[in-house]
Amino acid sequence: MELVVDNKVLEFVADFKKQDTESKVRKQALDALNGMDFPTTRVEDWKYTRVAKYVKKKYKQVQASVNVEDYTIADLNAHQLVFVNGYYDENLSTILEDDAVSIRNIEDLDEDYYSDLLEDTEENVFSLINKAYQTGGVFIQIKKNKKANYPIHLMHILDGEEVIANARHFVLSENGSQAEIVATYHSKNSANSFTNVVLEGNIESNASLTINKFQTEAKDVLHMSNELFIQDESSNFLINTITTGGLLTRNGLNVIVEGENCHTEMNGAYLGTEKQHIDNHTIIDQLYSNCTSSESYKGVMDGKSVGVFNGKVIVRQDAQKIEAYQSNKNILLSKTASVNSKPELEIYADDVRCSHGSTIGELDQEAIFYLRTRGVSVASAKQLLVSGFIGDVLNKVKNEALRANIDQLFLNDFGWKF
Amino acid sequence: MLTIKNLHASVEEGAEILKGLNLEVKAGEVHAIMGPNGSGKSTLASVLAGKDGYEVTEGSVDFEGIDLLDLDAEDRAKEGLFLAFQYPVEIPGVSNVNFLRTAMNEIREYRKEDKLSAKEFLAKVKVASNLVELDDKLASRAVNVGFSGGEKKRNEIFQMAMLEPKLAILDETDSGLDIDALRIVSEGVNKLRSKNNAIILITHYQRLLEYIKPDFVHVLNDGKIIKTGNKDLALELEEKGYDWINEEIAK
Amino acid sequence: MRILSRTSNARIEHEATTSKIGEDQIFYCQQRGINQEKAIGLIVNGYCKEVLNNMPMEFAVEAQKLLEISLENSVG
Repeated sequence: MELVVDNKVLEFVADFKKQDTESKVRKQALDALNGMDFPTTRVEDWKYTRVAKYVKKKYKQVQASVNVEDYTIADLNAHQLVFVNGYYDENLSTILEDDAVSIRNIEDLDEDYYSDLLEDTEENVFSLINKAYQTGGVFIQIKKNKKANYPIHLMHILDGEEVIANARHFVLSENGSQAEIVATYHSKNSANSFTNVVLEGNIESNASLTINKFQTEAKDVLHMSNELFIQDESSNFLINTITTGGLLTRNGLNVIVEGENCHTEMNGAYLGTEKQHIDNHTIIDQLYSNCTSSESYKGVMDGKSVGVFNGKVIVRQDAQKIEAYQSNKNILLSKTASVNSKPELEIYADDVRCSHGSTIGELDQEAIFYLRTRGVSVASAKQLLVSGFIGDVLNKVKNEALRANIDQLFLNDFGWKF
Repeated sequence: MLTIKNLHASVEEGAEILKGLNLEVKAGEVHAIMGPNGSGKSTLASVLAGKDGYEVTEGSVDFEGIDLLDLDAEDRAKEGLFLAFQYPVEIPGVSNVNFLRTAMNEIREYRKEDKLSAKEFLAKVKVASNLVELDDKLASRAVNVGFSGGEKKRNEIFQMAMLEPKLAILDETDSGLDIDALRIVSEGVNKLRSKNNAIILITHYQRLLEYIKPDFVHVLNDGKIIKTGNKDLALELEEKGYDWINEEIAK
Repeated sequence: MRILSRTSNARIEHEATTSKIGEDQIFYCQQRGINQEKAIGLIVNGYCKEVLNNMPMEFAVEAQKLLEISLENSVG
């Protein structure tokens, strides 16, 4: 038996300020960290994503101030909750008049309710670090049978080098409610910093929740995202994840469907250049009958970037008449780019319709040639084909202000027009 | 219009689900039937519509002077009974339009009415699709294929608008609809209400009844209607739960 | 070509529509006033549509007619 002489995790968090707290969630997370280690590539789920060099660093939890105008989304007209380095900045935030929505500090979330909800779910070390050391976050409640008057924009900004931002959020969509959440991630002058975010929620019966997530940090930042959502009967959940930023990104998205007649949709578009590494791991666990789920992730990798997709769909024995569709398509724009794509279907029920598809390819040379014969430059031809490719995922973002923002982003970063 | 007396029904060679259900629905009325899972809501809808797999062991159902249980499913439809399904099925390769045209002509033939001309039919399609904001493209697509949950439910109401039934049973039409879709479906149903037809809303949740106001609310539990009231009963039920009703009855 | 061996083909298709999914589809049609025979015709026709759509027109019309005759004989 190996004697663990130095615990890398405890070393990692050594300088983080221990919050003076009664919080059971914190205590449990702290205790759990004692027995944890950072994942190596020998752990199946982390086979293609090496975190070793990042977790050797010492990060600081330190507040900062930013110019929020740089990150505001034009015409979105939303509640704006600003987190700088994981700390909530009240001055930069705006909560509008909205009787459908209640926004409180994450510490106000009833811990017994939370523990019961998350009982038996697994956690990874990054999620535990977040829960033990979080510096800020919100508990959002969408009131029963009400539709939120405005979207809720969770704006996360990293500012400063070697900083870690531990923001933790929870959304409760009460019975019959409807709301949209926008989560954006940015960074400035933040080489070697670390966004370590947890976003969890419970979507009650007949409720509908849409989340649009844009990760656009600079390409020198580590981004770990742990998301867990639990759906009750007859609920709808749609989450779109668009990733263009980060040096290493790992998105862990888990959805547990705990009721009949639910619909779940998870879409993603990831674009890598230079040395970026973008890893999307998703799990959807269907426990009840008559549910549908649809997953579509598309990647475009250039330079020496690496894309990883692992989508797990579990259909439990009692979950009959399930329809679960999953698709991951990737385009490699350079010879040094690569993708690892692994769909996993675990189906225990016998009356289900499930399909999965995974493709990795290059741009169609014939198509490029065709466009060139019509006077289109090579560069423009490539852009046209790539936009055609990811266009349908982007079309899942229905909010017009958001869509305009994304289109502008792509124009600025990649020179693409949609 | 509909009189159900002491209806007992079981799953074929299985347990008894309806245990003496009584209900009276008159023309012009909207009745809501609420009950917990397993109370017999869907069984009631299936038995009234004539689905295979159930056995009626006792009781009677009179629909406009006819013994409903004596008729095949399609004849019940021709007599003017409509069921908006909880889980509408997909029929690949059969367009909504073709499907409905076939159905409507069958029904008209039965009622000794003339078949609709293509022009008349398309005019009706236009009105009905506007009612539930179902766009033209969906009308000509295969029945429910690739439709979202909300679109499937709207399609049921589109069909209801086309077929103009005397009695419409809406089986959990509101489950899984977001607020926007719920509003559209409810407005559609409300526009179809008349003093000559009747509607039975089978639902689990009270919120539908904010949009479609019922004349009567019945609580279904363990295969029987145990309490009848008005809209306020639905609110009380949602607040206090079904156990409360059982306690009230026991007193 | 499938359609030519019409008798056994129609039986196979009839059997196919009495699978679990088929039963639900038939009931859905019945609840809209379409009897079982016509319902099966509609559903099977729908499934075959892809095949017919890819045939040259003259054959498609013939095949359609053959299908109708086959079903008439096979529904007992």
